[in-house]
Amino acid sequence: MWWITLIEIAVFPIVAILLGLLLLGIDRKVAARMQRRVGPPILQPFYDVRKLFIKDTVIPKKSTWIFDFMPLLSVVSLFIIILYLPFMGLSPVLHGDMVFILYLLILPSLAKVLGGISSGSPYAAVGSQREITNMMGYEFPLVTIIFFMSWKLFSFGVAKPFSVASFTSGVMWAGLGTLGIAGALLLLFVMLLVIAGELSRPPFDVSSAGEEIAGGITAEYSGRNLGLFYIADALKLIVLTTLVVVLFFPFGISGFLGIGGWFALIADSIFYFIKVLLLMIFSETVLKTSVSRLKVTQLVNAYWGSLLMLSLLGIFIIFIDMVLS
Amino acid sequence: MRKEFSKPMVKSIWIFEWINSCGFSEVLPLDSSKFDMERFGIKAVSSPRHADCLLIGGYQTLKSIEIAKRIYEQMPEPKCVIALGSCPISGGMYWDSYNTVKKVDKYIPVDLWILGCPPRPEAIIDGIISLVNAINGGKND
Repeated sequence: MWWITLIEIAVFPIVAILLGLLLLGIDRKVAARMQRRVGPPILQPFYDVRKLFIKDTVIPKKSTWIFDFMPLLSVVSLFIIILYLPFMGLSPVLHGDMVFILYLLILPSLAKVLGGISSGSPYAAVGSQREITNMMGYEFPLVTIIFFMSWKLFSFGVAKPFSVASFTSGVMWAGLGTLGIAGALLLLFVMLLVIAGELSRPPFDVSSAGEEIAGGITAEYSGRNLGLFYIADALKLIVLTTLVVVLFFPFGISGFLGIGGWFALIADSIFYFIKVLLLMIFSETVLKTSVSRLKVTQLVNAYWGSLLMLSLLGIFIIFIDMVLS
Repeated sequence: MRKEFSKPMVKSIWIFEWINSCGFSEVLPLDSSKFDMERFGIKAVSSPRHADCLLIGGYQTLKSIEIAKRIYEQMPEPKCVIALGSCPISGGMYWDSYNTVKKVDKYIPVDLWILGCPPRPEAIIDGIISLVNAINGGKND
């Protein structure tokens, strides 16, 4: 029905923002507890965003209109990705392609880079260059994994191996033996590190390194624009964890429990939230509290060397498993 | 025109540290697990554009106060300034030096003075909380 689609288009981005900020709060709280601190209240990101929207917005004299426009672009592009993904365990609002989502995923980072370059600050320019390096790094393992999965879909004889709907059938684990499951877990591990890289979180936070380049890419942003980037980070967290949910754990819980109607909807959304929360804790909080920042050269080596090789190894193991069985 | 801190802002105060004296060794533990300033929503940021609060730590020379002024001007409104230790008040133990800024208030409007040489981390947290209370209810600790 067309009006349900309209409501979903209006409500999903707002729910995604609230959920993303809540997840960021839980992330900070859990990280604090891991360091034996009390930690901020769970609603702290909401307070931060509210404060940033109250504050004045400074626009540097040497910047162009791009500087003011890019935070909005990064938020809006993430809104669009959310409509293409099965958010909250529901079926996606718009029917799209995985390759299209990969292209859209570049936009938020690219917006940040353009904003940083156009701000006229040398720190932001250095941060932008580092972010481009980071982007080139994490795309490689990500694309390798996604293309492997569509190859697998193709080998099963699925008509549209690149559409998101085909991915949500749980193809990753289909027809795998013990060896194949080990390979898939290896791919999951690589994917968790790719999330950390896409979000520019430790150990891949070279672009916003506070101690070296004064906040890096967002050095000149303040007030409302910085608040929009804050929201974009929260949305990106939701989008990336949902992407991993689509690739690896697209299963709902309502069919398993045998319930229907509205209860199925509630059960599925709670189950989705638990999945996203666990993915965030393993991909961000644990890394953030245990690993320190890599250098730029080490980062490229990590992505193009270790992580790419790990994902290829995982794919190879799954190949062997599929040939044997 | 100077804007005042409003109530919603005090739950998340981001501070920029301009510290060039012994005060730094007393500010650093605020991030650690023993004192943990993050539980009040206080966070140290690395760009003046993100900051709400400028923490001037200790002894200022005639040259370094110029940089402090520039940082203060780069911060977006509303903003506040906290001066740490005895040096910003009177020059501290360097009071008779030709190069000492005797009173930081003559250069930058200071909202809160935290006494001590240098002040303990507890005193810094207590100072910031009393600033928050003053904004919140108008009460003066």
